[in-house]
Amino acid sequence: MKKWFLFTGFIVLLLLVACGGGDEGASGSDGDQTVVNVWFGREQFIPADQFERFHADNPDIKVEWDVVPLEQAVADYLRNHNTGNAPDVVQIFHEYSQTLAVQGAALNMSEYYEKWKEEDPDSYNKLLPQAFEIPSYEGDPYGLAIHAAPFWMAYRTDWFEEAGIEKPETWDDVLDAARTLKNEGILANNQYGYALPGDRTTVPLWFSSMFMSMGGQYTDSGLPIVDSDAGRYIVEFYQTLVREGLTSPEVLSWDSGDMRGSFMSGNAAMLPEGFNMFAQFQNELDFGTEWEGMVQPPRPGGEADFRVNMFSWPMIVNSDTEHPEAVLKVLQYLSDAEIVEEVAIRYQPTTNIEVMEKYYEVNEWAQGFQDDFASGVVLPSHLRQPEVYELMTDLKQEALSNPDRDPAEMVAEFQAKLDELD
Amino acid sequence: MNSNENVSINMNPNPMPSKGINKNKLKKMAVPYVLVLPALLFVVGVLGYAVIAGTFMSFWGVDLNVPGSPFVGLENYIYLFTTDRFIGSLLRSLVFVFGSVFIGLVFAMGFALSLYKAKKFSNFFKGLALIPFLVSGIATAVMFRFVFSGDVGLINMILATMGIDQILFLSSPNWALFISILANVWFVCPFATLILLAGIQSIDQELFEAAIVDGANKIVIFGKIILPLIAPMMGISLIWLSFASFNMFDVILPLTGGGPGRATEVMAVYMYNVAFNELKYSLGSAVMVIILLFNVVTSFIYLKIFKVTE
Repeated sequence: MKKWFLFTGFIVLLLLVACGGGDEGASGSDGDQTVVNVWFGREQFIPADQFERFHADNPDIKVEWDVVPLEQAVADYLRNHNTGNAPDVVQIFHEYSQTLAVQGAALNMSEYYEKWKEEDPDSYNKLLPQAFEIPSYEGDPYGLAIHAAPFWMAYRTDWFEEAGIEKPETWDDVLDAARTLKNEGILANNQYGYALPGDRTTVPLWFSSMFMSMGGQYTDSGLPIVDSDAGRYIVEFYQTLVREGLTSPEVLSWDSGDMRGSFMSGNAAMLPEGFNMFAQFQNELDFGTEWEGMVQPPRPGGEADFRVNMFSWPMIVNSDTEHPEAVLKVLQYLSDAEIVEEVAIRYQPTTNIEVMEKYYEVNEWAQGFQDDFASGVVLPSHLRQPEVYELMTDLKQEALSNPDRDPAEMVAEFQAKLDELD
Repeated sequence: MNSNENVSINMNPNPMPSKGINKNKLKKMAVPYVLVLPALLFVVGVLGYAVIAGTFMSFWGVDLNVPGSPFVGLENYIYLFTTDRFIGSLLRSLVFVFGSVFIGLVFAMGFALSLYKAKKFSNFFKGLALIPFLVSGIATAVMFRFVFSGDVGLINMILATMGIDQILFLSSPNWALFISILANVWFVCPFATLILLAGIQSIDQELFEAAIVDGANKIVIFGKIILPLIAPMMGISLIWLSFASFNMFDVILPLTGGGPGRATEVMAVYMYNVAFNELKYSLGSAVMVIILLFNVVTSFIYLKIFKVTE
């Protein structure tokens, strides 16, 4: 009997040890070293040298990192922040920057950036203003957007040439091109003029990027104004694609992977896509002869409101960090040209101007986008952005599943729902 | 000390051995409870804590998008029952669970009877039948996407060879819900099969032999012997099917994401979206409590009908 009790006691002890959390909280000290904890949103964002040079240059600072997927980073971070165990730096989707700022979970880095600007203007000025603007709330930066990417569009040059079509200059031209490719018999039965993700699992970033290029505006609080010319136009654009069979009849269940797959496997002539995916297209199709990228066009009549939109994954600084100076050094390191170049070319473009020059040089498919990239505007976000996304997904799906419904009526209905979020 | 007490004491010939027997008996009785203790602690620690904390949280306004978490009482529940989106998800859940339980039970019974009859390689087939249960929800969803997608889906390819038009299984609301039910059944059916098989195997073989001698056919044997005798196992099987179906979201989420529209947004998917996408923890907790109540009520009904405890 005694043995059984000992055995049970041992098991309970094991459970307690297993359930007991380790201290992975905000910066602490490891002997003489200051420890800075960083949560990356994707493994690919981690520099190839894994902070080797940083540790050599800063022997008094030790960087420890983990990968917490962007999709769960905010919730995990806030939960840990409440118990004092959050990391010093967390990488998130840019839409949640203000959520962390409002919750008091992010540190206003203004004074540290001022110091950076004074002490090392060279490295500071190498970053686009967007690097500081993206993670800002009410004008104050709460982190640093080292990587950012705009949504462009890609199209099949060989099919366009065969049909005698020019590169589209407006969204009307995109529809005309899709119609021509279909009607001229360039496309087979299972090929489509324009591919897009219409399902519920895909965050409506593609939809929002098209909306912005069509001149879509946002309220000061970050709500999309869909009851507008741009709103009605995008709904009508989606409806036309379905009504005229210019996109897959399965578009309501197509996620971003289906969309990309259709383009790369030669089943779609055009698609909206993030800059980083162009490298994948290059692996499957020949740049120039088979495909090319272009900036998403404006809506006819909406040229003045056209904007290139960007999205980003900024590093946000913990409001409880004990060593903001050490954190600043980590951010400077991650945005340093030598370090970020490798990540940018391998994975996502950067807000570091010097590196982007190299990026355009190295990647043939990226050339010609310099000015548009630099003028990119970050996709605005609302304090209740997840609910905004839910409603934008509803609107997108409503347009795709009801191609004959009055667009004006549809956008008015959704505008009322969006306005309730303010 | 009265005379009765004297008698009782005197009549015990050997009081010490009796005490020893009681102690041994006590030890033997305690062993199962001691062995169960770690598992019990684990369940109470993980599940119990989550349920209690979740229930508690549902009366507060924890929303990560806004600071503060005030006490709101029943406000979250009132909000849910006055919101079309939640009412819709509740009704879809009932359809989803009913469909899953009905199809799941029919399939599980069929598989259990087949496995009972399969004498050669029976262990191999039992292992094979359990495979869907061991596959992750995401893998199940991906597999069903491949099978039911439009252009390259297996089913549509078969339909095409028969000259039948393509069916947009995942883009049509009713079809999408039906495919979600099928995927769920594929995922939860094996465990129900094993429960029923255990029930059938526990029936005394002589009962079957006697029934055959009396001239009973297979339908009579199934209806008069198998069904009544495995009723408790059917109850457990139904509890499992309902419980797993009410809680199902890990197949639906990657399969349809709750769409098209909201066609497959059952309560568990709604709960996930509200809690982990919209970061409204308290509202998500309130949905969790409602799902829990549904599970408790349905389990209670099954236990009563099938007299599982007897």
